Amino acid sequence: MKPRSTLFDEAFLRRLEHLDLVTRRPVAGHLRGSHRSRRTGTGMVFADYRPYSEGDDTRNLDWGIYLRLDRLILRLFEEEADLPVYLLLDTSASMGHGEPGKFDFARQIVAALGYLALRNYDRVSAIAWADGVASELSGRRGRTQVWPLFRFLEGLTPSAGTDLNAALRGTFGATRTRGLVILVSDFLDAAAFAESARWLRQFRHEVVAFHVMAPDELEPDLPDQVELQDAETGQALVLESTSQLLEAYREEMARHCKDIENACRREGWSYLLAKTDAPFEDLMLMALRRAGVLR
Amino acid sequence: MNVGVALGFLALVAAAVVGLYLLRPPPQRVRVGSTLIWQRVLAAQRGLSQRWRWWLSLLLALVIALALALAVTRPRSGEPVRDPKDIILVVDAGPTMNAMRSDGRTRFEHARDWAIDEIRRNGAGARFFVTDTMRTVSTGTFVDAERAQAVLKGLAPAQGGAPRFPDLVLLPKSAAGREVVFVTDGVSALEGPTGTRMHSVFEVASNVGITAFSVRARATDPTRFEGFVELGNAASQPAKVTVKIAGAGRDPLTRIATVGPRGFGSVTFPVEGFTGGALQASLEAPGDVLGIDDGAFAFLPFNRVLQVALVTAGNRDLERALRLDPRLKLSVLTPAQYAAKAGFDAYVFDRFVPAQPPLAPSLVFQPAAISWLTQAASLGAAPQVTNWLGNHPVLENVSLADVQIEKAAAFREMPGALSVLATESGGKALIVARDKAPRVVAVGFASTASNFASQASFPVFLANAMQWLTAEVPPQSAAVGAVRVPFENAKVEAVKAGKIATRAVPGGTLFTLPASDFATVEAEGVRMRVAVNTTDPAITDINASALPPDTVSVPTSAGATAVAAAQWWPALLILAGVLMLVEWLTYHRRVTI
Repeated sequence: MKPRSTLFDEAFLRRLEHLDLVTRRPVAGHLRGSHRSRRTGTGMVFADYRPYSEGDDTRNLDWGIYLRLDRLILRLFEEEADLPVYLLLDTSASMGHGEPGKFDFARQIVAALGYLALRNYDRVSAIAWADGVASELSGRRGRTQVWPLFRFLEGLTPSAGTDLNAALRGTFGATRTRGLVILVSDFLDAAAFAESARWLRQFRHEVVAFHVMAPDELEPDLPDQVELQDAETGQALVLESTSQLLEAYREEMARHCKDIENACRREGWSYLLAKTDAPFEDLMLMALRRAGVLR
Repeated sequence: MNVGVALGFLALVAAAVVGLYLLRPPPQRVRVGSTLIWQRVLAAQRGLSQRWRWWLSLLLALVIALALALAVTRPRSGEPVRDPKDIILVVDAGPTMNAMRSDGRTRFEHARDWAIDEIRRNGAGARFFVTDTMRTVSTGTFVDAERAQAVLKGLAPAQGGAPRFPDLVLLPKSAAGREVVFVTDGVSALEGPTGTRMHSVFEVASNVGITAFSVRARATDPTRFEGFVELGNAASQPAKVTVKIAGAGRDPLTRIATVGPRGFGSVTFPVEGFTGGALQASLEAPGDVLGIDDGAFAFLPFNRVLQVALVTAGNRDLERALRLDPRLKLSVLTPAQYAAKAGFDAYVFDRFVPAQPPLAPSLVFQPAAISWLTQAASLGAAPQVTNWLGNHPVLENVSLADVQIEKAAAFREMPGALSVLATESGGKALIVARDKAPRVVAVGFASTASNFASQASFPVFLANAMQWLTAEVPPQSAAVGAVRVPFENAKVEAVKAGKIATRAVPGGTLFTLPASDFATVEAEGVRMRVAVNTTDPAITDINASALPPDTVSVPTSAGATAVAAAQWWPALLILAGVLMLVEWLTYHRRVTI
């Protein structure tokens, strides 16, 4: 009997089953999977030619070239490999706010993508981070690992501040195989996102950034005189919410989102602004498809 | 409001505004995920501009509040502090000063309060002479401020009568200089002596009043009456008025009339259903500010059967003729029965005269001698009536040309007491009448000694005589205030005021009714009705003022009433409104204080 989860209902899981993850570049992997690998081998997809050397599999010789050029040329095929998927979920205190809640929305994104990856026999790692790495579910593969993933996500609570740079440095290093990084956060980090992106670029991961925002963060509705209290730092900010100030806020928030999107585009990553009041199914089935994450 | 009080009020308002700014409730606390974006926004916007913004908002709020306060208090800064001197304060206490102003207080209350303030403004060194236009109060001479204020507080506006500016020539001369101040609504159009400073308490208002109320016989049927009510409208808009007439004998009658702007209208009522006596008319109109002209009284004559006694030894023609009159209930008495019977409305003495005058009016035929009326002397045979007063009510429609008389007695005329209605060819009186209670008509010949009883005009003569003898003294109309009636030692009782104190004056009695009422005057067996009303178009037209509202005139050598105080309070209100709009638009806040 499968353990019950509150993150998804059965109908939603069934609708995701026919989707698959796809990457647009070959990735390195140790295990066979349905994803293209940079290794040439016994796959079906042609990769290149090279001169035949002793010991090569004669089944891959191109006999047409030999008849024309009188040279033994070997056809190389890409070997299909499994895809390491890194699910990085922001669990900072700021994720615990917003209406509808950002944290639940983000956990649903992570859970859905993890589910799809596990169904596709990919190796999935889930990393909860805030001002550093908070907790990690190490690489799992196979659909039986779906429920441990869900339980891991359900056990998380938002707390502490946000330091994406520290979290990435704590997560990635030489031991991490290149793969697909799903980064889910509100990116309310004092440090510039571009700096973190530059650091992550060296590992040549495929990155999809989900920018989770609540409607009241994009269009705040505040009383005239208000004291804003920061959930992460506890800092209080007294202001008079005039229409001019609200307009300036909206412009600054749009600029903030645009900066993150531009940084992603520069690195060749995918960026998705995920509003928590948008239907989750639409986001998963349409937005990911449009971004090239789903096929 | 004077400058000192106004400044105090303004300071209070300013302090309240600043206090409210400083004591604003703490801002509402809102917990957000991160203030990162807000900090970036405020870093660009805060600083000097935010502080300026707070101070500018406070300044705007102060200007708005002070403009409103100034518009309300309207201090008059142009009034200098005056040197001690003698001030003659004349307060208009005319009926129109009862008109209510928009703040719920009457013009008179405004005038009295302003006068009291004027006394206070002039300080303790000044002397005051206080009087009014209705001659109801006066300090008599110049008094100190305290006494003057006490007199003013005892002053009340009249409900009727014509105001008149008091004569000031008899006042003692003043070495310190004299100033005359007249507080009025300007409707009475009175002017003081040259140099009078006038203060207006006038304010345009709506008023509908009864300007006339009478009961009159119908032109087509003199025995039937109708009530006539004239209405006046002082407003510049048409007024819809509900008029009601109440009296004894039936439910009140109600009519709805529309009176044109600054015009008059009228309503008539059939009043036969009422039994007679006092009728009261009243009106109701929306927005009416003057109540003293909303009611009036009139008298409806009683229409009752007269109890008449014919005292005769036997006269069938006379008896038959009297019985023809349906208004009479006739009782026939012999001279012997006369003393034992009483309670009749009138007597007809046929060749008989009692020794003492009857209490009721009487018609006497061929008296032997009437010691209590006049002397009679026998005439020769067959005197001829040659002259008679056809316009006297007793002889109206009566012809004596064909009357033939066998014998008659001539009356000696008593000037001042008797009127001669008919004379014979020698000029001696044949028919006389006394127009003094109880009335008497004396005929020098008997119906049996002439052919008068067989004449067609005889029943008319009897009917006229009975009507004249028993008619009440015609009702009198008077204005509110002192009323004089031509009866000595009269007793007066009014419907609303009850028994009225009277004062004997030569040839009559004087009494005072301070408001509309209906009085019954009784004296010497005579009863007279007096309807005392405030039915005066000049009172109802409360907007007929030449003075602008709430102004003080500057005394000039010509006595003109130029307006000194600028009417800047509407501009202040507009300024406050514009600033509030600016504040709202620039700060996007609905509450500024």
